[in-house]
Amino acid sequence: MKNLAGAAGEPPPIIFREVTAAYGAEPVLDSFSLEVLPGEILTVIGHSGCGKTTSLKLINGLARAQSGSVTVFGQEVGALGPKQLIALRRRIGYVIQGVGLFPHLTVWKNITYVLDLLREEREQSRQKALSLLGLVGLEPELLRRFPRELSGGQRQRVGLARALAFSPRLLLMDEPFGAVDGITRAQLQRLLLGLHRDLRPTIYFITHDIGEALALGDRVLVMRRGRIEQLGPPAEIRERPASDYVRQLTDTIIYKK
Amino acid sequence: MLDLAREVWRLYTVRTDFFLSLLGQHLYLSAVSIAIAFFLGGAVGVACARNQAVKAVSMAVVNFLYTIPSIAFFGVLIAFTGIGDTTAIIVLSAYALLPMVRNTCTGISNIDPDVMEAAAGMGTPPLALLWRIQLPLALPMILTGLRNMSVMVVATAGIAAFVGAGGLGVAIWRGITTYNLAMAVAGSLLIAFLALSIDFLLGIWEKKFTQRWSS
Ligand SMILES: Nc1ncnc2c1ncn2[C@@H]1O[C@H](COP(=O)(O)OP(=O)(O)OP(=O)(O)O)[C@@H](O)[C@H]1O
Ligand SMILES: [Mg+2]
Repeated sequence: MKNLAGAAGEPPPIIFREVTAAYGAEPVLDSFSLEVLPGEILTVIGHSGCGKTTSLKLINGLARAQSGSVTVFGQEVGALGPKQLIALRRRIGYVIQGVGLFPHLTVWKNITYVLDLLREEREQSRQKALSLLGLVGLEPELLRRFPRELSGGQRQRVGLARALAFSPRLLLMDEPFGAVDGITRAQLQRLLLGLHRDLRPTIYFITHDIGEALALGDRVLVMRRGRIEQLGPPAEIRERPASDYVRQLTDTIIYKK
Repeated sequence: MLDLAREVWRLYTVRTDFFLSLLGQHLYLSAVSIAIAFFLGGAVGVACARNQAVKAVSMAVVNFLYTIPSIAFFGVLIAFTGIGDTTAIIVLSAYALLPMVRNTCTGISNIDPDVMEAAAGMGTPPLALLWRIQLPLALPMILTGLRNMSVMVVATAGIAAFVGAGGLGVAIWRGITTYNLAMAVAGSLLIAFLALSIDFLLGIWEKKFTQRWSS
């Protein structure tokens, strides 16, 4: 088992307590309870539509729980007013499913978006953008390009840089390394592990890929139809699957090899 | 035909001051109407993009305004605001509302949901969302609306003379009432020229603003 870092005694940055969430009649999350530990990478996996994105949006208040509570940095998200919610979101790095870069802003202005909201001074913001570009392995020349002038992999790196801009202690990543080829994906995964080693943020990482979930996660959360099927370190998921569903998931990698 | 052309040209050279002053008035009437429609229509368009009920009501109203025949519109309004510039400006801006409201609303509503979600998820307050994300991204649509409605206003402003406002319509009006065909043609040509120039200039501006980032 990998070392679950984070200072001793630090409270869990995210706590779900008996959360139910629904858009229509069918619950999307059903008595969902979870504590995410400080400094860990928690990878979340499950079939399309099982509620992964919804669980992530409950953390930053883009979705609301019908019952139960979600507590982030000790604040109950559902009880926050608009101003407090904005303040909370500015402490959380967010990489959305599909990147969502701002098409009308240059790479620079995309990266420093949150800093610009806080009116950070220009030269400082440029320095910051440059160092972040370096951090995610992109050349400084890209600073003045627009998103449509980037490759898919470059866009995902910029998305990551944007989420890291204000040195968040918590990162929410929704299939951040989606539409890229295998080699680029592996590079991005290595990049993320390196960043995590150095900065130690807590990361809530959603993926479709069981290989990615097992490779990146300090713990892996397997979801099925809005419920937690199994939660544990990668080795445990692989060696002691709690159900046929989990076994089928891990079996898919063996077929690949 | 050639005679007519020669006569129109003679009018332009002999009565240059007259036409320049009409042109000035025409530009003034159009510019004021365009400005009103731009800001009012833009604001209503933003409201429409936020709220379906507001959208339903506003679109019904501006569509209705748009379909009133101009003669009837002027005629009815004269009863309230009398003869002159005010009446002309009200009618012209009322017509111009539709393209502005529609394009602003569509431009904002069509923004990629991923982009909106990223902006919200990163803690963008409502006003910053409007200024930093929604309006810039809707800008191509808004500028197209501005261009269409400007051309329309400049052309329609030719009728303003019929309600006692100035502008190049005065030359047309005078030409018609005195059986001076060349005078009417001289006024019409200038209006057409003005409309085409504005279309061209705003077209350049539109490209300049958006060509780099929009595909
Ligand atoms: N805004 C919405 N309105 C209505 N239903 C929604 C909405 N968002 C998600 N759903 C539904 O909720 C369920 C869970 O969606 P969610 O996005 O959480 O799934 P997911 O696990 O992230 O799936 P994927 O792997 O495809 O991204 C799905 O059935 C989906 O259709
Ligand atoms: Mg999802």
